[in-house]
Order: sequence, then C-alpha cells, then structure tokens
Amino acid sequence: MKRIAIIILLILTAQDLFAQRIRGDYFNRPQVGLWFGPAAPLFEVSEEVDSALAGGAYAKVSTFYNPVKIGLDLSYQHHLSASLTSIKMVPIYSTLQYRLPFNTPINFVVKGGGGATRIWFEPDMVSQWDLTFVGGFEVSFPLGRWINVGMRTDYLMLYEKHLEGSDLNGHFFNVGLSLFFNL
Amino acid sequence: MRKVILLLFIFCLSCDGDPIFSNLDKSDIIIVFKATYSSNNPRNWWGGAEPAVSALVDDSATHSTPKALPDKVLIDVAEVRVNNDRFSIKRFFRNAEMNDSHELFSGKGVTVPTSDLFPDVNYKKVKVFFRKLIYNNSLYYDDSWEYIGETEEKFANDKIPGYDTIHRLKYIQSDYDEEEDDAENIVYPFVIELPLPFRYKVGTKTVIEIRVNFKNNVKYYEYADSDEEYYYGYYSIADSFVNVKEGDFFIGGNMQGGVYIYEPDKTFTIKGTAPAERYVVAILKDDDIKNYSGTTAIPPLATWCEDGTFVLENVQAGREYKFYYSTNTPNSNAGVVEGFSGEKIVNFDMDQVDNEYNLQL
Repeated sequence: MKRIAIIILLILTAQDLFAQRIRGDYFNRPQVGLWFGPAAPLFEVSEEVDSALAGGAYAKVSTFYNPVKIGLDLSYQHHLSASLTSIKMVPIYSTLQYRLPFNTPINFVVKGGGGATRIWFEPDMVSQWDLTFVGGFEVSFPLGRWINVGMRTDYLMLYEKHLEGSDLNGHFFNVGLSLFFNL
Repeated sequence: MRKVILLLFIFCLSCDGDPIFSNLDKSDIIIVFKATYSSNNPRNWWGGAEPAVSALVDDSATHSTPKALPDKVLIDVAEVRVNNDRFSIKRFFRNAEMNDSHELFSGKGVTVPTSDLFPDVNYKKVKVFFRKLIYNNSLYYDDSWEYIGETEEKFANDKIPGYDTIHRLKYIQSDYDEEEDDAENIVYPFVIELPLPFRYKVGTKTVIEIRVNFKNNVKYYEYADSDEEYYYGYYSIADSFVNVKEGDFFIGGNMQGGVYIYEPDKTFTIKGTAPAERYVVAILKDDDIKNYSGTTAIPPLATWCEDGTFVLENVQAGREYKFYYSTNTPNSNAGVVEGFSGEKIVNFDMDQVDNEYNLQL
C-alpha cells in the first residue's frame, strides 16, 4: 500500500516530465472525436441482455493544470436479448481526464466522472434518466498535427439502488476505437 | 462547457424513476401449461377405469398389438410466442407419469416464466413450439412384424423408453404438393387462435393458460417403411379429427388447444350443478360456442362434471360469460367434445372477486 502511495505521489508531482512536452504538444488543445466498439453488460445484467455495438461523440478541453482535461461524452447503445427484453441507452457524462506522465508519443489517460443516462426499457416501454458514474482508460497516438487515433475503455455504472424496490445497479463495459481531432 | 457540466450535475441529482435493472428478470406475466381439456378438475385418466390395451389400437394398425398401455409421456416445449413475439424462451419439459396427480394432468399446470409483452399490440395467437412428444411402451418389429423390443429415444444425453412422434404430427392437406412442401406443420409451432384479441396492460399480473389436450387422447398406430430395417408400433395423439389410414406416415391435424388469459387478482369460483358425466364450459359473451363443438379448439374455461356438481375456477370478474354443458359423454380414450346445451349468460362485476357464485345449468 505504501509503495502504491509513493508511485501515485511521484506521478502527480512529475511536472518536469510534462514541462518537456508542452512545446508542440497538441494534447492541450481542445479536441473533438468519435468512437465505436463493443459494449458489454456485466454481472446480473449480462444474463438478461446481450452485448452490442456502441458509438458516440466527445469533446475535451484543457484545464489550468496541464495534464488534466475535462471531457464531455454522449453515446448510444442498444442491448437486445433472445426474448422481448431490450435496453436502449444514451449516456451523457463529464469526466476529469489525467494524462499519465510517460515521455512517449503515445498518450495514456485515466478518467473518471459522472452524468446521466437516458434509458428505454422494452417491452414495458419505460424510459427515464439514471444517475451514471464512469471510469476509464484511453490510449491515443497522434497522426500529425490534427488527427489522433486511439482506443478507449469505459466502465459505466447506472446507479438505481436509491430507487424504491431496487436491489441492482446497471453495469456496462465499453471498448471503442476512437478518432479525434485537435482544434 | 463548464456551465453544461454544472447543469448536467444538477440534473443528475434529480434522477428518479422505476428500478429497471432489478426488473429485467421479472415479469407480470406467467404461462401455465396444462395437458388437459379442462382448466380445472379434469376428467380422470381413462374415465376412471383403465381400458383394455386393445381399446387404444387405431383401425389403421392391423399387424400388431401393444403389450401395455402407455404410463409415461414426455412433453418437451422449446418456446412459446404470442403472435411472433418471443416472450417465453425458457425450454420446459416433463417426463410425466400418466396419472391424475401429475401437475400436467391434475388441472394445476406447469408454470413457465416469460418476459412482459408490448402494451400497444393486439395479440391474436399463441404459438407453442413442441420439440418432442414421447409415449413409452411403444414397440419395434422386424420386417415381418415379429416383435423385437421396446423403442428408445435419445433425450438429454440419455436414452428413455418410448417413441418420439413429434415429427409425425404434420397435417398433410388434401391438395398437398410434394414439390412445394406446403404441408401445414402444426407442432413447430402449434398455433392456437385466441377467442378475442388480447392487449397487455403494463404492471398487471396476467396468467396465460395454455391447454393442449393429451389426457384421454391417446391411440396406438403402426408404421412400416420397406426402406427401413424396423417397423414400429407407437402411441400418439388420437386421430379424432383427421383419420389416420394404414400406411400413413403423418398423423397430424388432431391436436386440440385452447388459451385462457386472466388476471389472477380478479378471479372467483363458480360452484353449481349440471348433468353428470359432462363437460361444463364457459366462453366470453362475444364468442360463439359453435367454435368449440367438434373442433380442435378448447373453450377458455372447462371442467368435468362427474356426479352432477361442478366447480369452475379462475373466472374473471368484470367480464360477461356464456355457460354450457356438453350434450354427450365423450369417449374416455379419444374423446371429441361436441354439442353444447343449457346456455346461461352471466355478467360478473368486480364485487364478485374472491367470492363464490352458484350456477345451475
């Protein structure tokens, strides 16, 4: 535990490494992008609905602290099942994204945040907003000055345990290929 | 962007609604599957007294005689749909003793889980996808009809005694074109028309009672194919509607089915009197009893009146019913219920729930 704390402290205070990257570093520009890839329900939810292809759009802006950005995500996923049960989701959330201080052309970013998900449940035709928490990891590689390609993984928890009669939250794991642009 | 995020945060704090994920595996609808003509208190097997083995031999079987009556039947259903909606995909099967206490034959029924249905759809038919129908004490012979032994079928990585007749329950119509293969397959799926369209109300507990008549509906047939090594003598559904002739491979068109949909929280029981050894049936007021006389359709509610008194359960309040008793006593091996009399129309209001009602027919 002590070792982990020291590593985290070293990462967070590694300003010298970032200082070397600021010149010509397009990470600090506002960015917009698209992603798509498989989205898998987890735990009990996976027994009721199937995995699906998901996709979405996102934007990122810099903060006063160089390695940290704020992201805004909007995506869509539709999970069917062998029976009539299906779930459509449109998660909208914001994340704080921290770029790990590795001095390589590849960016490694961890992120966490929250928002809300518009969810439609069939066949009962119920739709509502669910409080949503997000955690994830991104790897991206710049292709010149404007374009980046990458891969992202997101864990989404749709929080429902606060609702009366609920004993489950919704858990989903999304993996996506992303293409995004430095503005 | 910061304003957007702030607004999103404030909005999230107000999220409210129904527990969707906790309800994914729950449904307000269940299927109750019964292998009887009656919805409750069915007639005893064989009418209460076992017949001679020869009484079950169909007139198309001329070479062999069974050794014993069947005493086990395996009924295997892959799934059930309404219209084409796959709302019950959990396979269910029972290798049932053919006695009056088994849930398939006692009037209790087998409960099958489902998902909910769409609320804005008029559902008009139920489709039952049968996988196997195996009666035991079926036999096989050599090509000169010398008895060899009892047939066996593969089931669940094992072998069970019996003969699977599901692939034979295809109804070959008179204008059958072999090249077009337009025979009507009535077991995969077996289609049952609803008396009136059904529309599901979200959040309403609903029972879809499906009845396919296997009880007191058995006959012994033969099949000899010169291309095959063995000949067969087997039990299956009685040919009460489409006569099976010697040498026929297909024996379909004889399955009887019915569906009764009700809300279990709004039901009551009717007790009454009617002529003994008759069926007492009830249909919705807008339905026609002719649809159930000598046809493969089973009335929504039916019970056997053995001694002049009857009990009819799960009658739903808030509906208007027509009641009848059958005018003949059907054969206890392969009976067709036809001819109904004594019509009485009764409108039951919601005050009737949980009470009893007396009816004399």
